[in-house]
Amino acid sequence: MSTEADTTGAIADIVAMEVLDRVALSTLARDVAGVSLQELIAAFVTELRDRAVRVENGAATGDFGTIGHESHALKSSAATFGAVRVASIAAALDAACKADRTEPVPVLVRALKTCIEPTVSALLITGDSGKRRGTPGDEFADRLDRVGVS
Amino acid sequence: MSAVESVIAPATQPLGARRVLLVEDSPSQALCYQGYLADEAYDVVLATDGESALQCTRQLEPELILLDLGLPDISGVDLLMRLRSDGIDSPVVVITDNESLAVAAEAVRLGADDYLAKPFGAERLRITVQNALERRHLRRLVRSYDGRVEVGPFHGMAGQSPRIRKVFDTIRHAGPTPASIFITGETGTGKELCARAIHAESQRRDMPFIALNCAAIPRELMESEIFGHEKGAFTGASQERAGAAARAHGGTLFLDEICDMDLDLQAKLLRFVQSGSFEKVGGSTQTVDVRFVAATNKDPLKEVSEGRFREDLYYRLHVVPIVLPPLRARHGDIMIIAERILEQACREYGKTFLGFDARAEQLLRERFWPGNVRELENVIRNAVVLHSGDRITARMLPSELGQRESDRESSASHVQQASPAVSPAAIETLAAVERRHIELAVATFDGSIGKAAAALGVNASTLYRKLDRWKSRS
Repeated sequence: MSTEADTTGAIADIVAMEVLDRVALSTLARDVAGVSLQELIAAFVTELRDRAVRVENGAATGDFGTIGHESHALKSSAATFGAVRVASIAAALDAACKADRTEPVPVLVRALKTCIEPTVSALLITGDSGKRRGTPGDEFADRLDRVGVS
Repeated sequence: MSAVESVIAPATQPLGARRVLLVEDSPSQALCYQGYLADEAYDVVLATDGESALQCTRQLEPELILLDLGLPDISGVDLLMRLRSDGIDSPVVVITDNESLAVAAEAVRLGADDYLAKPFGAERLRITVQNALERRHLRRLVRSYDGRVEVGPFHGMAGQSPRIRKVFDTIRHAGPTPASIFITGETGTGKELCARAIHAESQRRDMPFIALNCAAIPRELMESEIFGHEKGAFTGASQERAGAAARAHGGTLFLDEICDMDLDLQAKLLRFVQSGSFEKVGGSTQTVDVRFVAATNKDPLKEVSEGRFREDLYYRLHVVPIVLPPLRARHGDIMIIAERILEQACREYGKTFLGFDARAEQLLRERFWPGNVRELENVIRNAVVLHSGDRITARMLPSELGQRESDRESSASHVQQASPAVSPAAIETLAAVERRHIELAVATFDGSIGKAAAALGVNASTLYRKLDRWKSRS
């Protein structure tokens, strides 16, 4: 049985994570072809914000089915884009809903809300810093620059 | 984004691009997967919920379906079951996360071809898609190959009903082995043809196939027929003669109507089957390499239980059983066989029939065919010999073909109506009626057993056996 202290500790661990996994991003940049990168990033950002709002609304109305569905979907797409902090919170929400544990949900929903915009910003900033430092994110950064997302 | 849309404009796809339906409600994931497949020749169509996926599948007949299990309106597993129950056999690769692998396994059990656990990279997706499409291609290839084999004759045996296909499969599997095979089936079902097919499927196909009808040959000559004799072994044995066993060396010895073999000779045959050695009548021991195929139109176990067939010989020969179905049980095969016989007969007799008219076909389909394929062959050959034209009509078929069915009905009703007026003493046994009918047929054909058998729709060996039995009793 988890306690509020356990949940708080888990969230502290998640918050201590990097917002983005740059290697995952550069891998995605390398693997994806034939699709506009601008479209790709825009789709993820829109989806991220939309699902976060639906999770919030679900929490406000006690609709744990919606919270479970949205957090489940968010967990996967965030992991694909290297948004590890969002992915971890969404995974914790998904697990809580599947186990019918409602008590950690409000704390997790707040944690999710607070990391959405930092994640979006970090995604865009990573392209720039990767380019400057010559990390594996170079190609991704180049492509971000080309499409004008940053 | 609409529920169904092509995420790549079809005009940009190379000719012959394979259509892949992606069922995914996450726009960003959908774009990633499409990007992973962009360098391949796929036309990726996106459906974002279950209902649109169903609609899309029916309209576009995709070659592959990539199905995310977490859809907003219907569970991916339920969608998979609906696709399969709708008869859609496109391969389905389900997409799930690592925590839901049990659901993926369930989906595979319900008909999915493979699964992808998220997150996965481009290489994993490309390989999984390639493998699923390759398996689909191979399945279709096998299906088309199966179809060709089943429709065309198999070593002279025509038909595609499930029961005859099972026989073909057994012959294909057992033929190349040295195992003895025991064929059972009614008269006229093609037991010798089946034995020849087994020989043709074996490594012995270039060696002799020797058939011996154990019922057609008088008991006193049978031993010599099987094992041969030395010169002077018995009265009339003016020359040494090789029997069927020696002539079958390296090949196949087919013992038809095995249950009619004399019990004493069965003991000698058993030794031969066990050791490969036998003694010529009045002579020395010989050893040969022979594959045994036996057949009977009787129930061999009943013959064993009633003491007419040796149990040890039965188990020696009954290694691989093949049951040939009667023609009436091979629904759909009658016209396939009839067309084939017609074609052969036309070639042999220089006739130009192209097929059967509707009424003739109906008569052939409705007949009970107690004499099975042999009876059907006799009926068609009779029509071909006696008539000319493009189509075999009902009028060209032997009159009894149409009448027998109605006769059966009318005689049944006649018996029902007349039975109170018939004295019990006037009722003949079936055996007596059969004997009288056979003797009439033999007399009609001036003693020709072969012609009488053909007219009666039975094997000549059956007539020889019955006549021999009646003769010995009298």
